[in-house]
Amino acid sequence: MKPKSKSALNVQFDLRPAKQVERRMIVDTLQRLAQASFPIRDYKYTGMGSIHFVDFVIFHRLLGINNMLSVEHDSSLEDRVKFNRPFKCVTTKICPATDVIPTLSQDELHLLWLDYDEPVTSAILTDVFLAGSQLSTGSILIITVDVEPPGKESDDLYVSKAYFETEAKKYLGSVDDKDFAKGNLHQTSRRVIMNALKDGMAGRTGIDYYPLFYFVYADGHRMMTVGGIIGSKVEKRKLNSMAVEDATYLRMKPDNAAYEIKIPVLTRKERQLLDSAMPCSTGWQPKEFALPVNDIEAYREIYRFFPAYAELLL
Amino acid sequence: MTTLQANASPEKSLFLDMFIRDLSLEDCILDLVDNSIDALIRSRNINVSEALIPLATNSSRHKPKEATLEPAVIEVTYDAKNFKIVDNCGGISVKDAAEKVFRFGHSKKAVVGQLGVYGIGLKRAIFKIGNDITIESKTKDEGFRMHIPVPSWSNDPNWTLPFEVIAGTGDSNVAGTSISIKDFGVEVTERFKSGTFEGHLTEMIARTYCLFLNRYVVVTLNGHKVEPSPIPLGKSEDANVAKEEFEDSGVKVTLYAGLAARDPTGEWRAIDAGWYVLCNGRLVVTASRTEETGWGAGMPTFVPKYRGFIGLAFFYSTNPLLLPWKTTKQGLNQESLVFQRARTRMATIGRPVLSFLDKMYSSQEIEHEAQRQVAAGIKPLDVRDLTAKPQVTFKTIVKPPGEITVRVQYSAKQSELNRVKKSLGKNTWPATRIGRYTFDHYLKTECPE
Repeated sequence: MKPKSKSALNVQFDLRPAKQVERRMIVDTLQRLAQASFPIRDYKYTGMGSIHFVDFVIFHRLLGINNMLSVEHDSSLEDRVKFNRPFKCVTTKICPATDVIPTLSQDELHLLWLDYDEPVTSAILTDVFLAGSQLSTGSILIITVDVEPPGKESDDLYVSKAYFETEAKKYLGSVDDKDFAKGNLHQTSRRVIMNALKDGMAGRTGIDYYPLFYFVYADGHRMMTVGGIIGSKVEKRKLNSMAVEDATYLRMKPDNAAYEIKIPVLTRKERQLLDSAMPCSTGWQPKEFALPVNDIEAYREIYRFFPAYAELLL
Repeated sequence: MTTLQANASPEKSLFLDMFIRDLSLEDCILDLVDNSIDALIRSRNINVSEALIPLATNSSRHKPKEATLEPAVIEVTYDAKNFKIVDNCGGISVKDAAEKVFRFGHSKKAVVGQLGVYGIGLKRAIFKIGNDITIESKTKDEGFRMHIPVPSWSNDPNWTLPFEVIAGTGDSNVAGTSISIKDFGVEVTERFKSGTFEGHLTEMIARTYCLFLNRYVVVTLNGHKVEPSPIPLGKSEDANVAKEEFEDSGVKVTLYAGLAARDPTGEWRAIDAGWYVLCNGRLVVTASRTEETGWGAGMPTFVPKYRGFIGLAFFYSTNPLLLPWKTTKQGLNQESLVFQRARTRMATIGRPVLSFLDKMYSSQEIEHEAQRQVAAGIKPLDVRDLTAKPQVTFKTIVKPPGEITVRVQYSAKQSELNRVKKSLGKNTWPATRIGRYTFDHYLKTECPE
């Protein structure tokens, strides 16, 4: 059985800026999808809210989704999970995701976010396989995994390789040793996840996976998110009509490189100054002080989605 | 430029020597039984997909009318010199004998049987078994008799078989076919003489036709009635059977997954566990625990703790060529699209059952009490009585355990054990009692409640 949830209880969840940027980018995409005739507010959202439920709050407030289920596998958190439910329209279940996925109704459209806090395991790949088989046409599937080297205290690529061969042998395909280097683990993780998904979708003629997201970010551990739509030609047509010009974070082709969410370190005062110049032209620098060019560019990419943290003295 | 013609016509020897090798003797005999059952399906107009899985458990309204007729009889007899199969399943008409039955393969417009797929079963079987073949078949109105002396026929370049027309039976209840074969090759003789052949053939008939036996047809082997070997799927008040059905390119697929009924000693037998796949009611794969049916690919690799798992996959089509069976009808065609789709659905529908078994055996092989109670209540159900609802997920009602018990086990040196026994003054106590006593002693003195 899985050990206790690690990240929910170790990290101050409200203070993960890169993860929050990712969430906001996903919401931005879902809003664009809604404008392209996807009935987003009628989707059922199933996620792993833990005790914080941040994504549930955002999806309900900004997208109007009001049929939601949060799944928590750690039974010792049951009381805290129930206590922290943000809205009445969020139901909770204390069991592994594996038990929930096969029960997702085929008569509903689903937004399923498998937001794991560990590296790829065979159990995770089973969940992805089941999702590929079970999710109705038009559903949106997102998977997040940890992409740090999985060996204990070891970056050694042979340790990572041995780990992947144990957990994901049949989904690796043909790989080189360099695919297990620390910087490439996100690609290898995505590859095995995609193969597991294709396996689960086997025999669903006319139905394909249309990619949307391929994020890499790090608030502490390096994480990777991959997501897209399981759809038919109908969904493909709608996707083609979606407005994408300024959505530089989308990854809609299967061979795209990842979109890296970079959060520059700026003070509140500096952010306000930069905001007044956004969107800035390339090469722009504030007059008052100098910032690395990379930081300015990174800020321009994410400024619309960057949360502002403030302390409230209550 | 001159154009010549290469001779591409088939040699009789291809069929007589080659393609009979792909099939075992038992499979050949089953092919002949398939033909008899096909004749029965035609003569009684049985709708295989509806008839074998009646719509509701207790509803006599839904009992198909064919089930109220007397079952037909197929008698198989053999010894070291003679083989005979006789049935009263309706017989073959003269027209069919002349135009269809003895062709190698079906013409595209032929109305194919439900279990006969490629139009070769009869020919392959009779040529494999022996060299002197007599076929006699009578419908109500007419009949025919054919004698095939194989060696002289194989030397004849003509691809025809002469037969004489005879009178019908006048009574459709006794209409049927009889095939007698003598003059076996050495290999076939040895197999018929072997001590295990009859048992093996009985077992195969019992499994393959478990849904047909005693309901539509009775099969006897050397005078003994073959009883159907049931698929041990079970359910109870606390545990149901999951079901899903879908249609894909002319094939109707119905899947079931659930727990096995315990055997008389109260155990689950691993040898019976796994997936059972049926095409048009005929069992094609029995108790499969391999990658063929998804174990290790979508489902976890089969391990003993999953021995309580039973899954059924039914494939129905009016065109048996669309079904995912191999030409031998023992085994599955992995490339079949409908089977690829079915395999992923099988993994999904089976997942909750495997999760239940994971919880039941989560600590070594000791069964958790709550799950064990659910499992103990499972009664075998007749596969033919499964539910009518289109989709059901596997659910169990697991009562929370009173007090969880855990097994404590360890080894100790004999000399040390003796020292403890001596200190207690209990030299006759067995080791387990000493262990229990020392545990209780510590519990009482060091960990008061």
